[in-house]
Amino acid sequence: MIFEDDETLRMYVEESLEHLSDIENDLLEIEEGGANIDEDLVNNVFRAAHSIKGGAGFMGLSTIKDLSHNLENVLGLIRTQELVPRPDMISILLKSFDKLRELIESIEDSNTADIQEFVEALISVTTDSLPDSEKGSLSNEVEIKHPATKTNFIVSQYDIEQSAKQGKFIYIIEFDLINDIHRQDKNPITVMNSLLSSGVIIDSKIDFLSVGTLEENTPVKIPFFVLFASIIEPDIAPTLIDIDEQFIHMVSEDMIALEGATATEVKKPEPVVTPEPVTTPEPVKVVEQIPTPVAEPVIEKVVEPVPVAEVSKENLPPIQDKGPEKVKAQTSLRVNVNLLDTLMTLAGELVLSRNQLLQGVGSKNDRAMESSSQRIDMITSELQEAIMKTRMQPISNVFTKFTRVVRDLAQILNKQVELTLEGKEVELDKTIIESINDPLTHLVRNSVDHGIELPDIRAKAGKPPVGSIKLRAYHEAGQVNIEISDDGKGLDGDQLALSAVQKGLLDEHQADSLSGKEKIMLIFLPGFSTAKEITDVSGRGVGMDVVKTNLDKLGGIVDIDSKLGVGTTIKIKLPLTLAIIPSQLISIGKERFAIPQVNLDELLRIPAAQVHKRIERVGDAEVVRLRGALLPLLNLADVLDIDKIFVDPVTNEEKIDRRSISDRRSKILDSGGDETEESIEKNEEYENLREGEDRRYRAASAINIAVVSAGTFKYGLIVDKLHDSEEIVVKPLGRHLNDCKGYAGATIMGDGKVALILDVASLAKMADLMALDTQQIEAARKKEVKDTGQDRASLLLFRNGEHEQLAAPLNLVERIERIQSTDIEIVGGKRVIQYRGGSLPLYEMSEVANVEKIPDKDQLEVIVFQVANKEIGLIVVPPVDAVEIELEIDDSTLRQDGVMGSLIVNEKTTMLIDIFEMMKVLNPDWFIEEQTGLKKEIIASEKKILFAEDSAFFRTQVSGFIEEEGYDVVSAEDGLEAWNLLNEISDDIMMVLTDLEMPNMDGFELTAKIRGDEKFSHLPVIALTSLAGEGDIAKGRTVGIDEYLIKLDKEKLLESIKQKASNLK
Amino acid sequence: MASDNIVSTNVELATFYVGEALCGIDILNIQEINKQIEVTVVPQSSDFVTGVLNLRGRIVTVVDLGKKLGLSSIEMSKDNRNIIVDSKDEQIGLLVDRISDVLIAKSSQIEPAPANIGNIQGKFFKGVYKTDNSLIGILNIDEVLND
Repeated sequence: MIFEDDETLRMYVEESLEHLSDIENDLLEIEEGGANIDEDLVNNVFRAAHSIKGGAGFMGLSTIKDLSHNLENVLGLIRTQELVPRPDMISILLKSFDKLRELIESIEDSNTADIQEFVEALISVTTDSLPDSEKGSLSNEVEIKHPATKTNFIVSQYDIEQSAKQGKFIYIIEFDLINDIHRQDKNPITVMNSLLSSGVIIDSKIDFLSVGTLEENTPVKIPFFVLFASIIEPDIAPTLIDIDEQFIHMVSEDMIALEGATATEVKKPEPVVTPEPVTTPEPVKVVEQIPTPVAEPVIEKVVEPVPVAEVSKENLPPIQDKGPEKVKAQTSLRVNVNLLDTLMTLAGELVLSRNQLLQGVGSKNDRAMESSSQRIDMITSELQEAIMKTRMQPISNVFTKFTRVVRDLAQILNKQVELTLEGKEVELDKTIIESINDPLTHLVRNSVDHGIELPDIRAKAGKPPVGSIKLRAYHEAGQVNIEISDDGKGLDGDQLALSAVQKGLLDEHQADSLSGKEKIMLIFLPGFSTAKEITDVSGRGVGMDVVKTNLDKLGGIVDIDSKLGVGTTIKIKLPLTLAIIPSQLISIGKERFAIPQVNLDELLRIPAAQVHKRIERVGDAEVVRLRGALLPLLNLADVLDIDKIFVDPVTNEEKIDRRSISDRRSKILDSGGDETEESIEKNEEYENLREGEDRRYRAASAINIAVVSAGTFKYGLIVDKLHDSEEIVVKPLGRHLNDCKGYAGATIMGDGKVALILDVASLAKMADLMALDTQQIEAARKKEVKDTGQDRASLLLFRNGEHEQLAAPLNLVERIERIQSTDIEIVGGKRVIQYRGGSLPLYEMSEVANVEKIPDKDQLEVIVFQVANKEIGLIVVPPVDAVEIELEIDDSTLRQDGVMGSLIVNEKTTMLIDIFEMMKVLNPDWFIEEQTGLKKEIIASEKKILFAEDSAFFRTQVSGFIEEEGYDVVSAEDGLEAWNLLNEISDDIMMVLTDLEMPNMDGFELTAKIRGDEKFSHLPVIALTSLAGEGDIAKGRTVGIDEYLIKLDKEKLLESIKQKASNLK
Repeated sequence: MASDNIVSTNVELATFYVGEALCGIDILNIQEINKQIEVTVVPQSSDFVTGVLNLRGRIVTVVDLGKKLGLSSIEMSKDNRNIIVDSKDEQIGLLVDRISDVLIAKSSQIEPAPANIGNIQGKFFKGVYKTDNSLIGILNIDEVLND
């Protein structure tokens, strides 16, 4: 059926597609113009249809020919102003052109494609515009026979009449493909094109019958007949067409016979009833400005063609909307000739430099080699840049499509939308252009469907009825930004959160803890679709999560900004190109990997000594503390199942490293579910494995983390080594590696070896590390804050002067009072204030410590502490604030009397005051009294309390206030030390206080040992903890802990000690 | 289609050993044979993929032909060779134990493959070629590299 060779066919396809490429916009402009027809535009479209038809006849592509022919008819009418384009007609034209493109793209199957509905729709457009008398002509067919040729044409009467109306002559031209075209080195398409320039090809066919059979020697000729209508006079026709006169046959009227009728009835055909449903012709006039809505939006998924009879008010059969086709991956590219020339020059220079280099190498001339290698270096960079340029395409290739998308959608949804395009000239790599089409289409559709409101709703909200969508592209910092903004109803974060909860994607607690922005970002969660009903427009089973994954793959970043009722702006950041990317090289064991720089946030090295402090566990996930936030961790070696290697610092041997990053030393954060005993036992196992020197305390065992982000989701990738960052060339992996999801490709390193490029988003998926995990961690963090973590404490922050920030443990504070400076009395050399019927002594820090003095102020704050059974007031300067903070106390730098040490709070160095010490300095006599007074009363046995606690801060705090009460405290830094102490001075100990989480021996073990030894089994054991989870308590009970108390809960602790002490007596 | 080819003309076969089995590939399918057997391992890939290597700027997947054919892995030795073949517009390296001769197979001596040749499934072969002292299985590359 397809006669011509591949080459010609390919040319035809390329040419046709080029013709079609601009049609959409032309049509849309024609639509906008309405009755004011821009002839150039229409001519453009008309010519496109016509050339396609011409070629199709020649190639034997009957379906394409039919469709383009009917398109041409409609366009012809618009051109001659017999038809005023209405939006519904334009829709039909657009869809038909879409179909045409589809046919051409799959040219091999085009002849079997079904185009019935399109043809019918087009015919009905044409019929509508014709006067009644001519209505039949479209469907009537006439037969044209010319005595001089063996062939005959059956064509539509309409065509012949149109030609006659325009005063055209009709010819049958007989080409011989072999002699006229092939032998003369002509191309069939150019021949067709030259014909088209002077007339109209009504029909064409190849006469296979006269070709002869294969058995004969080469066929003498292949006749190709063209039915050609032109205003060219018969006498000059042969010259113009460049063909012998004898092959041009003019068709006279008598050669035209109405098909099936007698030959004489030619000129006046009886109006035959059309097979179409008879329709009252719509008066042709300027149609309402508003696109007329189609009665029922035609749903794309409907497959069976809608029967013509029952269609729409407009009389025009609708055509199923297949939606704009995806951008086909282009296989050929247009390149500016200048650019090609530049490339050529560069290639030439490269060859020259290579020759120089070879010569230099041959003659061992270092200087020559050096200079030529420099040249090669420069040329390669230039060459790279130039070649990248050839791949750059303007973003308008994608953008302009949206005019159509928006128009079609707005029509279906009865909305009025104006699309503004900005920055069409911005260029992006061709592969990116191709792959952003789908995500952008989705976003634009979303904007029209969910964003822009119906005109009446907009009017009520005081907005103009015509919604506006703006697509904007611009360069920024080496990246391309694309913004899609609409002035629609915006996103309702609370609604989104609610919906996420209903869908079970979040629990209410999590939802509450989200910020407004985070709520909006929820629409990117997999399984989330905001539409209440799934419409055919946006809800197509895929959601925004797919958009996001697609953009992630491109190394893009999406961000949403939305104001309820005002509009939504979606911002996408894309790299300029994907082919060469800067990336960070890392290694695991002996294997190197590359992480694209776009995915990399920062590199983190956790010194060995801090590993156990900074790396923690939530459930079974490891997290790292990074500037106050918890970051989930992924061990690359585990995900990829590679043996890690560490170099033994002593022997320099490479060994397989099996250490687990976090172990019992790391805190276990309770993420809802309680830690089970099992996992605690496991931790103990670790401990047993870990006897002797800890390898951790070597620099070599520091942990390297690459903090990467896949979109908004950040995590830390634990790697063995961090190397340099390098520009790498991305190369695809072969098909056998398609199912390895963790890689984005591979690249070749300077040493010629291959390194794999990591796909951080997929890696996270492989490890089931999803965005929700971070929320879980977040929840754990918040919970932890509530629980008063083991190393965390509440501090009261205040100031001493303008600059110095001070803090005191909140639970030592009785009250805070605001006083007027005038109320302060100075009596007996002491400052006091009348307070609750007594006098409260007032002090300030500068009396003991070298700190700023309290400035003169009218209003001051007094913090009331209880020290040695007396209330005292500390004068401070507001603001007074309470914080919960991790206590990392530096107890040397700023240590002085009354100052325990310093820590960083809210990025400010803060002195932590020691009120007990301060009072001891100021009023040493209080304490002597105190002790003598108390000793009589309580400690008859003169026994001591053993206190095991690893944190220095808590050790001093807790023993401080116990000693205040008059007890003797012996403290130990961990369980083991406590146990040894207990054995040494067993007789003096009356009670044991212990922390639970301690190195070397934890509280549980210590208790177990105490209970296991009959010497001590009678001792009361009080556990001080923050982790009073059910599991802990149960475990504690089994080992024999008498009571659980929260650290720094001073009163309860003292009460409990007192009670236990009196029980002992 | 391919087997027609074999019947109608003589074929040049590059032969090599996979374990004990002597196999052959139509020499026209082979781009090159090299000794580049040091590859970059691709963690998480199928077990028959030994890794990837850089072949003059192209990333080539190297397949352990032994594993792929359902035998044991190719044993590492100095005789190992990579046979780079073209398959579906992609270059793939086949790791074999050692290579043997190139010989011209007369089509008349090529027979359809039995169901099983030396524990390798018959579907991987286009045919077998019998010489005086050996039996060469002619591999159907596309079938072998079908994923």
